[in-house]
Formats: sequence, C-alpha cells, structure tokens
Amino acid sequence: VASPTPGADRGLEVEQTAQIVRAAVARLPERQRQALVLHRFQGLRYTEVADAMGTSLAGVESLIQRALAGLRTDLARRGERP
Amino acid sequence: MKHVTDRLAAWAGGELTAVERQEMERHLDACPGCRVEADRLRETWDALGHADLPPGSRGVELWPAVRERTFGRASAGWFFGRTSAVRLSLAVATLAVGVLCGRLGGDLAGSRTAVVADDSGLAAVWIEDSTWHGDSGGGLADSWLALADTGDSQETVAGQRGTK
Repeated sequence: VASPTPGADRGLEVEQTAQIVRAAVARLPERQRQALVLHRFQGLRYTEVADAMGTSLAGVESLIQRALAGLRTDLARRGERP
Repeated sequence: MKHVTDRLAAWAGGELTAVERQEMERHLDACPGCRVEADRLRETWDALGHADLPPGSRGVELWPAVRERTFGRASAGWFFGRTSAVRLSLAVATLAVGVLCGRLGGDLAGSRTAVVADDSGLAAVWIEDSTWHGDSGGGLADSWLALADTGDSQETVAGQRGTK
C-alpha cells in the first residue's frame, strides 16, 4: 500500500539512517572519531588533522583507516549496511 | 611498505597524489580481492554522507572562517610560536567571536557551541553538535573538550550555550 505521504516517509527514513550512522560514529574510539570528524565532516586535509591533533600524517591515516573499518563492522553487526 | 588496502581510506578521502591514485586504481583493476575491500570501504565512506551536518547549520557556516583563522593566517606555527599571554589573548578573542556569533544565531534552539584553545595542537575548533547526540550520548563538543583536557599544558576556553 502506497503511503499517502511518500515524501514524509522518505524524510523519516533518511533521518533514521542519519541517526544510525551518527550513533556508530559516536561509538568509535576517541582518537579515531576525532580524526574522522575533522577529515570527513569538517573537511580538513590529513596534514591539517595531524596538526590539530598533534600527531603524524601516518598516524592520521591509520586512525581514519581504522575508524572506517570499525564503522563498517559496527554497522554490519547491527544489521545496517554497509 | 604499506599494503594497498592500508591506503584505501586515503584513496576514498582524496588524500592520494595523482600518481598514487593511478597506482591504486591500476592495482584495484587487477586485484579482485582488493577491489572488494575498496568497494566496501567506499560504501562506508558514502554512508557517512547520511550523517553530514544539515545545510544551514551554524557550525557548517562558520567552520571555513574558523579553519582559516586556525590553519591559515593564524597557522599553528604562528599561533604556538607566541607567548602564553598572546595565545591566551587569541583564545579569548576567538571565544568572544564565538559568543557573538552564538548570540546572533540564538534562534537555533537546542544548539551548543564550543571554542577550544590549548597547547596540545588544537588551536581553535568550533563545534556545532546539536545534531550529533547519538544513542551513546555525549556529543562531539564533549569529545573535544575531553581532548583538550588531556593536554599537558593548556589553556582551555569553552563557551557553552544551552537554549533549550
């Protein structure tokens, strides 16, 4: 049965997905979350993230790589894609 | 030497040089296993797009200016090369701008802003976290304040505004 308000349903679905992803980000280890947020959401380059967090470029790359792997595992375990 | 799959986040985030990117994509074209890994990581990267701060969010609007102040004109070297008194003055000035902008945006109910200045490498960060309260609670501003608290020598100035 088609929803009488498909736009509203879609909006709700998008918001639910957003909440799931935000919650998964919030569960990441502290340093991984900080690096990921600065890079993915605030648009800082790796060099800027390294400067902001007082770590090396390789360290930032490792933090973000592990953050993405952790997010994927977390979302999959909870039955959410990806 | 790092394996190619250890650099997939940098690849997804546009952090590889043109040469590195070409090498990566040549490898992915030739290696089905790594291609699967790359596709999975790209899915996760794209999923984060669902959690982007909404357009019009004060944090998103103001971040470029903060970024410029922190990493541009007031680069980390410039900032941390100053005396503590000068750094404290800069931090206070940053906070004042933050408070002013926070008042100008006072119609955004339930929002909170934080400006952090310290010696641990985080000169100034503006966080708009009203949309970032996951089910584990906390919020990003709290995370940043916690980061500032771990610095050995720091000047932390935090402005929080609850307008609920």
